[in-house]
This record gives sequence, structure tokens and C-alpha cells, in this order.
Amino acid sequence: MGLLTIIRKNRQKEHEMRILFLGLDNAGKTTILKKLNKEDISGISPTLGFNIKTFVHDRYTLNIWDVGGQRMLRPYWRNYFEQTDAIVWVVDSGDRFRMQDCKEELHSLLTEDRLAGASLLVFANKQDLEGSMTSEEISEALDLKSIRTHQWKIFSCSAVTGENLLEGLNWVVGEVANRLYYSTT
Amino acid sequence: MKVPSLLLNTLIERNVRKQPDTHSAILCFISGFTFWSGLVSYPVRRFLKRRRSLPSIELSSRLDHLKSQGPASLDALNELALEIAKLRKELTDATAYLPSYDQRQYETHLKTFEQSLVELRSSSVSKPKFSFKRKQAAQSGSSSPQPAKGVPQSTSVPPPISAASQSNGRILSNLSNEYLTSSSIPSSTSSGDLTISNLDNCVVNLVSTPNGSPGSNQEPKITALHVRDISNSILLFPPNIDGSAMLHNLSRCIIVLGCHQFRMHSSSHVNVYLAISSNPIIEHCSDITFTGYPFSLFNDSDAEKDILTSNKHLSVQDFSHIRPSQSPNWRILPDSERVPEGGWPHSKDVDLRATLSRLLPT
Repeated sequence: MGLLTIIRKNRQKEHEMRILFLGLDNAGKTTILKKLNKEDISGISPTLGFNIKTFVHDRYTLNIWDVGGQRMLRPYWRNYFEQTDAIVWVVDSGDRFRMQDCKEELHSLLTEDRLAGASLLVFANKQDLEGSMTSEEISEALDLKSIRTHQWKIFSCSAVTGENLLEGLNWVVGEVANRLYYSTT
Repeated sequence: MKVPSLLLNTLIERNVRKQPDTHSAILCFISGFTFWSGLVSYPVRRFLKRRRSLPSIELSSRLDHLKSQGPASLDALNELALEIAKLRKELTDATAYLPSYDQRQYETHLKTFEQSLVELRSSSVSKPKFSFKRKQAAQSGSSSPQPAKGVPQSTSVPPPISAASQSNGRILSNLSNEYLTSSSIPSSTSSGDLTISNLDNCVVNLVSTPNGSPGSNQEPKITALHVRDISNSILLFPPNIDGSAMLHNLSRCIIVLGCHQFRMHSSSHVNVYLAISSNPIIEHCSDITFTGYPFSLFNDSDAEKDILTSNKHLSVQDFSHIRPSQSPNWRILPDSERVPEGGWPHSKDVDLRATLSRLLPT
């Protein structure tokens, strides 16, 4: 029994995952989280600082950290990188102006050592808006295909209607579970 | 086991009262071996006591009461939402010292409250809070894109966006010295995303007033607003944009707007007339003023009442100044400096240049 096995066993007992919600401001991170947790989404203010949500999903306890995306807050993202199992990158599909900005932030995030190996779920949010970009367009604009360092997948979704949120979460939880709990050395 | 733990308990309590910030560390340390045998530190007990008492029971009975009454009034709902939010905040604050079982219990309680609130809200919407009456046919005939008459002040290249900019959303851009209304927006769709960029010396009027000025008799339904690179202009939006507004790089402008969320970046000399129910955000801005949405631009007195009772237009958060002191980058616009209620450029016939120079901040 090697050290890795011990670590794995230990985590298996806990069945916990740490998921980080990041993205530019106005992407809808908090709204997605509240919707997933079946909370009221009508009076959400832009996040100054961060929110933590813990909920049980499919045998796993998810610790979700939702950190504000204002430019001023982005340097602080790094404080949350430790022990992150998955990153959920939320994109405002209607914000064509800042796709470049969004792409740069995402790619610089993925170079972080402490996030190496974390699964990446991209939410193309706000699909309920007419004229928003499709997930294919966003995949193109963010150059997701060039990502080799992380397992990634993009889901189009809407935090307002709740469309596709659970599917995305299921994917990322399954991905992390496979990696942490089922793979053998 | 019992005696030492009791001893420890009193010891801790004494410590905790003296240095409240160390209590959680001590608690963690102790709980390692005495676990939960009667050891409940002071703040935990205080929290439990408060929580067990009135608010939650009272809330649930009120929720039930409201449910049984049929459609609930908006005020009552807002009040409830506020209290639930307060409870949630208390719970979040208590996560540091609350055992996880209790946390989960309270969490589930709160969730049921919130769910019933959502149910109540959806059931009480007998008439939607905001509704647009839009004449469908009028759009098609007159929607030829307006050519820009004046030369744009700076012959800047259009914003550097890739193929992604092939939008089917509504875009109004690269114009100067124009009076623009909803009929100026070249578009196939008439709802959803609205983008306004690169305007100079313009008035954009998307508000329909009760006395129905020509050209603005149809309000466009907007669910997301992006405004970018605007100078020396007045932008009038309806008070009920059903989504968020994102404003970037504005200078010397007046913005009249009602929306769910408001964010403004890298702007200066902007007067904002706002109706909003969340905290407005500014970042990298200077010389911004905030005031309430003008009465004369509401066209529905019910909506007006709803919006004004929950208006948070002065709870501005400046992300470039995260300190308890007042941010130097924004202030409240004194009533004396507001544009008088009759002074808004409602109609196309106004003298553009004179209006702009009269109303815009100096």
C-alpha cells in the first residue's frame, strides 16, 4: 500500500470535492449556484468577496467556492486554488466584447501549478437571451481546443431557467469521482 | 471524562469571553478528544438559543399564513425575502463554530423557507410585475439602418472582435450627432440582448412616455444591456430592464436606467439615474454621481411604486475603494443638480447640440 493509496482511501471516506466557480464579472456565477441550490435568485448583488456553498450531490459533498469576478478581485482568485478538484468557468454568452478578456483570464488560470489536474467545466451561461453566442462559438472564441492540460467540457446553460445546470454538474462530479476515487495505481 | 470536560468547558468559556477571536481554535483543539460531551462553547450556545427561538417559527407561520391567503402582496414578500436573507447571513457567519450536523439542519430549514418563498412569489404573480405592450407590426417598415451623417469624431477602428461579432442581437454603434430611438436599431429580433457602442454627441431614447412622442411608441424588450465607448451623450432606458447592465468606458454622459444588476467600469463624469434592487458596482471610475430614476420617465405608476420602494441606487460599491470610508470616486447627485422632470429630451425635435451642452455634466 503506497502513500497514494492511503491518500485515496482517506479521501474516499470523506467523499468530498472542492469546486471553484470562476469567470468574469456579470457571468452569473452566483446565480447558477443559487439556482442549483434551489435558492431565490431574484435579488442577487454582484459578489464582493466570495460565497461558500456546501451541498450533497450524488453521494458526494460538494464544497463550492464562488469568488467575485470583478477585475479588482481577480488577483485574489489564487488564494482559493489550493486543493481544488474542479474549476467551473462561467461565461456570459451575450458579452461579445469581453470574450478576448475572458479567454486570456481562462488560459492564464490554467497555467497555475496548483490547478494542475483539476477538471474544467465551462458553462456558456445566459442562453435564455436572444442573440447570445452558442457553445460552439464560445468554444471557438475561448480556444478551448488548445487546452491539453485539463479535462474539459463545455455546456450551454441558463441560470434563469435552470436549463442544463445539473447536466454540467453531473459531468464534472463524475469526472472528479473517476479521477479521485475509482482509478487504480 | 465528565469532570475534566466540564472544567475545560468553563475554562474555555472564560477564555472565549476574553478573546472571542480565539474561540474556534480552542474549540477545534478541544473537540479532538472531548468531542461533543456537553461541550458547547459560548458563541455556539448563543447562536443555538437565538435560532431555536422566535424567527424561524414565526417565519414559517407567516409563510403558511400568506400561502393560505392566496396571492400575497409584494411588500410582504419582499419583507420575507429580506428576513430570510438575514437568517442566511447569520448562518453563514456561524459556520465557523457550528457543528456540521446543525449546519445542515439549519440549511435545510432555510431552504424550505426559500422554496416556499419562491412558490409564493410565482403564485402571487397574477399580473407580471413588468409587461411590455409592443406593437408587433410597426417594426418592419421603418427599420432601415440609419446612415451616420456626421463623421465620427475619432476615426477609430471598430472594436477588435473576431468572427464572434457576427451577432443576431441588436446593436447600435458608430454614430455621432444623432437622436436615436428604438426604431434606429437595425435588428431582426426585438427582444433580448442590446449592445450600444461607439457613440458621440448622441441622445438615445428608448423610453416611451405617456404622452407618446413619435418614434418611441414601442418599448424594446431588453434582457441584457452592454454599453461601451460612449462620450458626450444622453442614454435613456426604460426602468424595467429584466437583467443586468454592463457599462464600459463612458465619459461625460447621462445614463437613465432601471435594471437588476448594474456594473460600470473605467468611466468618468457620468451622472447615473438609477432604479435597482441590488447594489450598483463601479470599478476604475471617477466623478460618478448617482440619483434615483426620474419620475416623469415612468409610464406605469404601479411599477414606479414597486421600484422606488426597493431602490438601492445609493448603496454603491466601489471595487477600486474597498474600505469603510466613503469612496472618492462617486457621490450622490444633489436634487438641485438633477435634470428637471420636464427637461428630458423626449422628442426628436429637440436641438441636439443645445440639449447636450445644457444637460451634460461639466
